[in-house]
Amino acid sequence: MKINRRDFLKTSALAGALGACGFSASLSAMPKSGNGNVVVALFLRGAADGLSLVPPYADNNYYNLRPSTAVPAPGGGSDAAQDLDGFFGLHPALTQLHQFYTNGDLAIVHATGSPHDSHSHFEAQDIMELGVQDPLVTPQGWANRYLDLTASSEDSLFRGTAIGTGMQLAMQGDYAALGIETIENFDLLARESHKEALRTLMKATYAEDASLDTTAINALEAMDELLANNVAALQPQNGAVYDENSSLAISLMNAARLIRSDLGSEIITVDSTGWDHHDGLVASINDRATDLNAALGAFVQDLGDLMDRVTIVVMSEFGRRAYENASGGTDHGHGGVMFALGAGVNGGQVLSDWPGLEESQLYGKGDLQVTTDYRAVLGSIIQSRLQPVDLEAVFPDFSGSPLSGLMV
Amino acid sequence: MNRQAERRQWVSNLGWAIAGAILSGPAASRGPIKTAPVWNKAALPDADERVHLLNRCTFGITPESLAEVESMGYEAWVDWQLEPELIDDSETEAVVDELYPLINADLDTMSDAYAENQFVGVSQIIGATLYRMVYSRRQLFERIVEFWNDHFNVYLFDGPVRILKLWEDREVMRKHALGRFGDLLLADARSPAMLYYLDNFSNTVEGPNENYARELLELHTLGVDGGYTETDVLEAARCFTGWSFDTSTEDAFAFISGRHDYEEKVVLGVTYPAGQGIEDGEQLLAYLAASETTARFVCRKMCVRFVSDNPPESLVDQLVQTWLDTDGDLRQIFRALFLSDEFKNSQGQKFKRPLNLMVSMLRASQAWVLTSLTGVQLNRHALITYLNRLGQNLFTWTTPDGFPDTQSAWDGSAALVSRWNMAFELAEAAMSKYARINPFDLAGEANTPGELADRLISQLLYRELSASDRKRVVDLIGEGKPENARLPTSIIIDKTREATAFLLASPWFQTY
Repeated sequence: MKINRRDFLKTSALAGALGACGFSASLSAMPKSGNGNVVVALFLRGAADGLSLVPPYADNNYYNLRPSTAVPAPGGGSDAAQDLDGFFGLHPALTQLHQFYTNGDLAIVHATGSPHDSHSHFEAQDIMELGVQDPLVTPQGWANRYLDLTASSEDSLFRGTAIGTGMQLAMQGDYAALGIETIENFDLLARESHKEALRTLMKATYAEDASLDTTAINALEAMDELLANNVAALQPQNGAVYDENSSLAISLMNAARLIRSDLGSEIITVDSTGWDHHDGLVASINDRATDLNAALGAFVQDLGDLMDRVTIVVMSEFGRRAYENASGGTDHGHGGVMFALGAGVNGGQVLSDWPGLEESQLYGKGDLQVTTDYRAVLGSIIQSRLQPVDLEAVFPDFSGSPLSGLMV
Repeated sequence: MNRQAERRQWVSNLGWAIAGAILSGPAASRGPIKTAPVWNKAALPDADERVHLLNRCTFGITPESLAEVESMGYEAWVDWQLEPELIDDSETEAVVDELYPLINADLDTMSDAYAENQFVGVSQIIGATLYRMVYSRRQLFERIVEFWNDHFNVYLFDGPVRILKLWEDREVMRKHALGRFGDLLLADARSPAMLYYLDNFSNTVEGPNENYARELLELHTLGVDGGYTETDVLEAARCFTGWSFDTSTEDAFAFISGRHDYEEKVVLGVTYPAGQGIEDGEQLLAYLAASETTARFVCRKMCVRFVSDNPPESLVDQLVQTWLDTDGDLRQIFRALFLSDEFKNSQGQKFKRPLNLMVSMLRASQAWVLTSLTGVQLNRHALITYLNRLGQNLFTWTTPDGFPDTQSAWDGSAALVSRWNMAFELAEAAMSKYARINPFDLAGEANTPGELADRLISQLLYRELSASDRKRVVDLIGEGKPENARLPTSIIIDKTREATAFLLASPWFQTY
């Protein structure tokens, strides 16, 4: 008789007996962890233009700096911003987000980002995902560090899950996070008659590999749990429709399946790409905003009541230069925008210590200043939603406080 | 079917007529370099150094490539491969010409083809590059061309890059891959694909666009820690104002003087006096190419690609010295790399990138692809599907840093599972509509578990395994029978598939 891990755990109180299993060190013991709340961290790669997504339409300098690319003030036609608070507007393509804002589920933080001076996508992404100012402080991503600091022997394999082909740096580090591209593809596609033997042999062989052992064995175990829970068969609920041509939508659909299956996911990382708009800003930001709006809209609709456990935070490595360039685009800047959506969010407000867009108010070569450290935003969400943790340990060279007022 | 006929099948199939491949490319995230992977050395005997050489300098070992290095010897093989123009590869190139006629076409022909179908170039460059990776006898050249295509990455689906990349691959990367770095850098700066992708074509005195200038300093030459400032970036951008392209000229480059900023610039402490035109950019490129900081940045990158995620500093130092002694002669620098002890002692320290993994699977298993695919969209082809799923379909890295080189970018569990499945689906005939192995060829004369295990280990890995690992393969095949038990042919064929699936998915094939 074969006993799989789940059956074994269900029928045996002798958790200590796991010690007899050769791979127990890399396995979690129970498919549950945390307090049931989930944070989905969505990264907009390429430096999203906060001044287009959330235009400060009441700041006249915005229109001076962006003569051909600014989003018109509310009331200026179908391309115009949707009003938020009389000062900031929301990009016209973000209709669902505007509804969430109006409903009090979405809060926006403006002039936020990393205080690090980098204008390099790659360096700035790394720094933001590490959660530090100085990348030499740690090679471990912020989400991984949180998971590490709050790890327990009860942790689910899915507690930290990175959706996508690669694993986001935020999720990389000592804590064995899981990477899943899609649930369908997360299975061994061998002949049925060979599957069990190959599975056993792969497990035994990879267990001896110095660098791939944990990843491989956790993957094999996670496959079992996905199969046992029939996760691949889950369809979007509540009439939600995901665009199958959008990689962000597909990622969020799979995130929703994991959440619905209650496998113990606590932090899920997701990517959206294509936010680098050196030229043709108006068209390209519209395309990206449309995708973001539809994907987040479908995700929230799909989860329905489950959203009372789920908080989404959206970030990007930096904002873009305040003034447009000759190509109708914008070069790399500094301050940008973040979104917090869902459970626990004190929505319907833009939190911003607005630094202004006068020349004397700009940062460096003409960038929006960062007046709110992105770690104050992440810290506030972690503190409000996840397990108790020392935020100074999660963000080791950040001395500020969590952003007050963001969460209820 | 004889080998030649099989090859023709591959060939005719590679004429994948494609339109509008929709490519999904969620970024494999990058990270700081982690501890280099090291095999459990005690458990895996080292391979012959010639096998190690072929693992790293080709897209996968074949019996022919092993015979070449065995007859020539290690050093002579390296020298032979580093003079690709002297290697007769006419058979491969004839197929490329036949199936992918735009690859060697002039700019006018390319432009006309693009006007008719914006995606025609995409299918041809992906098909031709894959074909060369699998079949070219200039294997090391193909690997070095891949390195430069990554170093000077452009995104294939960015507007006219869909056709301009064909010209760039030929006239920039292939032409200068083993020449002087300074020539390569200048050719790339003048390349229309690069001028378009990093927006320099719209960099003007009226409105500077700093995109190219920044990546030139950060990614092509000095590196992000190379000591330049934000002001240097803006000043460098001014040097390149007016650099644009015009596909009606012979080399497609155009310097538009009316867009150039003729005021004085200072970049990295060097003054570019007022009144200069195209000389500003040319002088800056020459300065960067001669910089030791550039030499170190690029040499380290070569070592990370070909030696280890954490290459020994001694080797980087040696290559930098060769660079400085030879004015950046890339042939000499690569030669020094492959002949170094550090290279020879780096077995098992690299994790194959997905494309390399796929091509090496096809080469090792002597797989071929069926002809029934004409008209199928490229992205529906099983091999391309896997490359997309693994995040490395050719030329589809969207950002200018190129596909990452280090293990941590590729070894998450999502990727690992897809890597295994690529092996399983190939070996188990699940992708037989697209690519298949011939288990009869692979099994040869073997008809016992011991013989078959030894045959497949040697054919696929070109090395020995430890006694206990070998026994695992024997047991997988024999299912408890003695290793010298004679097995019926049907079992041999079934077990050839299963054991091939395992060996291609094993860490011994995935890491190298």
